[in-house]
Amino acid sequence: MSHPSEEDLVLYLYGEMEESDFLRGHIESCARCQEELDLLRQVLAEVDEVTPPERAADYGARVWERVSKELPGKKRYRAYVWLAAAASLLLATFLAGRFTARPPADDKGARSSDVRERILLVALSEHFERSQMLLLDVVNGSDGAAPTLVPLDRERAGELLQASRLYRQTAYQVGEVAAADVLEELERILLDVSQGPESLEAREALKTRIEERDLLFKLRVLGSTVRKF
Amino acid sequence: MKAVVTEEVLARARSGDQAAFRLIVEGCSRDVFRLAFRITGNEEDAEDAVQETFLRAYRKLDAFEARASFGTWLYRVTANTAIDVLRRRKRTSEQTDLLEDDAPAARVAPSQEKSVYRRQVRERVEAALSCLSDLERSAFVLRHFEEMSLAEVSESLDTTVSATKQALFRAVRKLRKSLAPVEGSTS
Repeated sequence: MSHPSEEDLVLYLYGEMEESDFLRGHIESCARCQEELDLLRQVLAEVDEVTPPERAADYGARVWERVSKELPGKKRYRAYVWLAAAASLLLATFLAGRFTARPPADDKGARSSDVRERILLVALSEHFERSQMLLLDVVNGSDGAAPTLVPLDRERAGELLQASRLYRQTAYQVGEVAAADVLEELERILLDVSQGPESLEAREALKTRIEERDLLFKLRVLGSTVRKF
Repeated sequence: MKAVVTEEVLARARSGDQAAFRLIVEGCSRDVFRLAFRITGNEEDAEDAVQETFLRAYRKLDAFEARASFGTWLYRVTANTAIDVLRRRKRTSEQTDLLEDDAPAARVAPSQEKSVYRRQVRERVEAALSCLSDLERSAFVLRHFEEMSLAEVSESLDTTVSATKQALFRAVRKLRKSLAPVEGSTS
């Protein structure tokens, strides 16, 4: 029988050879193959002599110090891209007064893009805050004796649901997947709220979903990002 | 990867929580440095790669699939970043010092040597490793030093298991050839 190739020996040495491979038996019982393996081991042992220099215990903190200086600018840029794209999609909705009672652009001419984006930032921030307030109502309102939502809550949930869908679509389009995922989670809750959980059990289940998904925390993070911009 | 990143920290970081991302950076820096050093072969480039790795990771965190191993994913980012740094360094080196022939050895800090013999071995190994292609070196480093399976290595390097195997074979063959004169004398 011919001896295994160098490739076979490398696979054997690194434990990558199949248990069922018939070459295993040969390698383990053949003196010449064992000699070849020893030579390979010696070469690799020599390679092991080169060890990376040790890093101090506070190395991670020092790396963070350097890295963190680069992060805010990038985050702001990403927020800018997202929100600028959101401006084009949400402008019509905004002008129709869905989020605010302000009138559309006046007769003196179009608003500058800066002003438009600023307004949309406010609208986004408001959206996250209103969503949080609604979720807090759900979470806090299910412990007492009034388990059903009042009609106003359902109407508000419906409005927020529509707005949230627009934001989510925009977020997906500009690659803000994490934000889009949060908005999608929010939508599922808003949909249920808008349909009105009729029993205490349904209300409790809704509360559990909000808490398990840490949705209030995630909305706070998104809101904070928008406000920083 | 030795460092462990909890799902909670990961989820918070993916949501944009910088405090959570800080935990990842502080927890994984040493692992990332070790791999970056193995691939680039010197401290300066490794430090550059560490910083760039975390900046890339931060930007790509949204695209990370929660089902995959975060350690493997971060290693992939590290390996690719270290390879990029290595290529930049090679280009610069070729442009500025075409006549220099002992660059790999010169990059080892003398203060870290324990003895003349160890320094010589280290220089020989560094020279041998510098003869490997980027893929060969990365595949070898991940399999040999980081003890990742071939499947994990191929995932980290975004290539096939077959290509990873071939790269590993070529790497071992080249190392064996380069280090052959002292075979049998260092065990």
